[in-house]
Amino acid sequence: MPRSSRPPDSGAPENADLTRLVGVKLGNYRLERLIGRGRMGIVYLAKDEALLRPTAIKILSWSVAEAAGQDPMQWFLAEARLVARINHPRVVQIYGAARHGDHCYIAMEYVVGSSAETLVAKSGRLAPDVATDMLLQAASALDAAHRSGVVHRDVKPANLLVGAGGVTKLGDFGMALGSAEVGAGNAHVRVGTPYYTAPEIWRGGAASPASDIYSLGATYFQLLTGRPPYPGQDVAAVEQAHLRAPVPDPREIVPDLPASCAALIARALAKTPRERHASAQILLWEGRRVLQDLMPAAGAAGAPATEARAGRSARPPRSTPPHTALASGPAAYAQALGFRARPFSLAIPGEAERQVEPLATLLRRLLEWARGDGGNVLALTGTRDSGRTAVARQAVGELARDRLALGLDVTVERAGRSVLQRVCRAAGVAEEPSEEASVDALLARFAEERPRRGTPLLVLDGVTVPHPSTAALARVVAAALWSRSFKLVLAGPAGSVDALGRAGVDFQGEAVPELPVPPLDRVQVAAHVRGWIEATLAPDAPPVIYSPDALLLLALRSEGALERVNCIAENMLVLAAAGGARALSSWHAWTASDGERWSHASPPELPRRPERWPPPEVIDVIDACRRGAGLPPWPRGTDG
Amino acid sequence: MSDLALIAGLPEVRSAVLGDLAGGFYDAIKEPDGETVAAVMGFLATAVLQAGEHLGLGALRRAAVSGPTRAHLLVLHGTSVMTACVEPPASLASVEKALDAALTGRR
Repeated sequence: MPRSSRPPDSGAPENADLTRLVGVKLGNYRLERLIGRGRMGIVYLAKDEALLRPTAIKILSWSVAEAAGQDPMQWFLAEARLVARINHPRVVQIYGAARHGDHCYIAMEYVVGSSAETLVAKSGRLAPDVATDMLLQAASALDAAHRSGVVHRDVKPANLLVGAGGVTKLGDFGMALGSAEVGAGNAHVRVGTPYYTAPEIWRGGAASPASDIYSLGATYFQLLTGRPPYPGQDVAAVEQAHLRAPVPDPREIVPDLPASCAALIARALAKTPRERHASAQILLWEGRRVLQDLMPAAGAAGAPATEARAGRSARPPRSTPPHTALASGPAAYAQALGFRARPFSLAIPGEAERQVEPLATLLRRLLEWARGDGGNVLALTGTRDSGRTAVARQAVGELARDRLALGLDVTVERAGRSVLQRVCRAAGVAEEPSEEASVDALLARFAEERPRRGTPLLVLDGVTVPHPSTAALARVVAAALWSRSFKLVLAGPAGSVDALGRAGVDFQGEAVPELPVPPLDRVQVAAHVRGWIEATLAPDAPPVIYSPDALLLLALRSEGALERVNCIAENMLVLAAAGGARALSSWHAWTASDGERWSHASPPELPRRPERWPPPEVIDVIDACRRGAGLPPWPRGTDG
Repeated sequence: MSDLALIAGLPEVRSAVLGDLAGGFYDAIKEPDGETVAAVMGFLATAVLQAGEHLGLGALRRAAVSGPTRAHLLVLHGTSVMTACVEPPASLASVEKALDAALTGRR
């Protein structure tokens, strides 16, 4: 479009300072504060003086539009129309577009919060579940855009706007004009931001949904690791990396990341579009599975040990002098001992290679219930570290192979989101303005799934009373009971269902069956520890040896609670790795913390083994354990 | 005098530990970490027993592992595992001989 196409009354100079418009009123909007600069214009926070709501006003930067050869008004209207036709709660909403004197502007939804870029800049990187949640929301928005025929073409952390409660919206469709009718002639112009631009765009190819998926994959990489996948010094280096470098593994930067995160990135960042997710919806589905993997492990990471521990012996003080430190957490000690993966994590290596009776029996019963025709609500009860979460998680993983299965840790409110909001998000359902509408949308999703792949399962782990989302819990329970379109597992401490009933949750007179998580006995604890070590130790690694007394003390201290067993056993391995040993003794079992994961500390101060071990008071405890196991007492007359 | 004391009484033996094939720790003489030694030797004895079966050795009685400055002699009797730390390793043969003689005399 020739430059003369500028509106005749504009009169705006090329270098008009659009940054000094605070106080100016455009239509109903009073500009209050400059909040951003994009390639296409300047963004102000404004107040809608008619509706009295904050609004983002994007004012066209003339020179940019003209450089692109477009009529500025048409360009802006095109962007507004583009976005307006994507009706999705995760796409920044357009309120209107207009021209006011010299200025063309778009009035948009103002997202109170920060961009994902800012959040990463502040915290270095985001927690995997938070990053994956953002990915899911952005993928959902992209899917809607692509279905509307719109390619975003500039997906990057700066364009993910994170508002209250972690609600993430995709904004700035300014570059999407290439996919609109107005900008069709520019479809092959390379656009986007170098760090996130797909290889085919670098080669001069057309932007497509697949290139958006690539950009979203690169964005996800940055959210997880704090840096883009190809952080080159200059554009040429970045270009070459996008075109030729192997897809980086984010676990080289963040070793703790689950393999599923890395696998998702590897697919999204594939060099050719056909190797990537076939659509944003497929990416969304895969992301949902990743989020399932990331379901927080109750008690796994520094969970407060709040349960009563009757009969536990006195613990040695933690004030022992620092012995040594592991260089970089879980990966370091796992590597030092030759483990293929971090042992004793809820991230199960491969398929559940080792299952612990009676938890395996419990899991089977839970799966039978989920696949059967019985009631729709079941209580899975046990203490926080009983293994309840592991069983729930394994059930979800098992059932997810043949049906929609969702698991959420509802122990803690996550960034102010209610249980219902989080369930909707996990199910890939757009949140509706009201809880009623959200429930309707959720049930529609479940009803859609049920005839195709069987009754969906929803596991809410960490149901307690009082709970910040009791009302939302009540809605979910009611929905399960009257719709019968999904099965609901309420996982919490014993008596939680009764407590929910007393708190006003209506179970409609139905008796909710209860599956209690039993504690493990000492034989089962030993089998579990041996099994996990065998399952995760690399085949060429030397063996890890444990004394029977170590396993007896571990069983005693854990009281048969699976997560406490895992925590102590992992800390025993950390101690062994720090000491350069591969044999676990009663000292490791006595000293290892049952409340915090030492491998997470950075770096931990680990206790030192005393010259003489064990002291008499520990021998008393060991003897008690030995008596229970039918073993002779500790040789007190030992000539050390 | 117990078998353990007998073994530990040999001049080339620095320490001795009594355990079982499961790695259980029953007694020790002059060994500050008998528990770990018993666990390691229980593991080793189990592996050596399996190897002995593969080699057709029949009921395994003894095994030895030797390093540059010391050696460990493993004596199996039923499920019991006795371990003697021998120093220097060159004394291993004489310790075995003395042990044989002593144990034969006792039985």
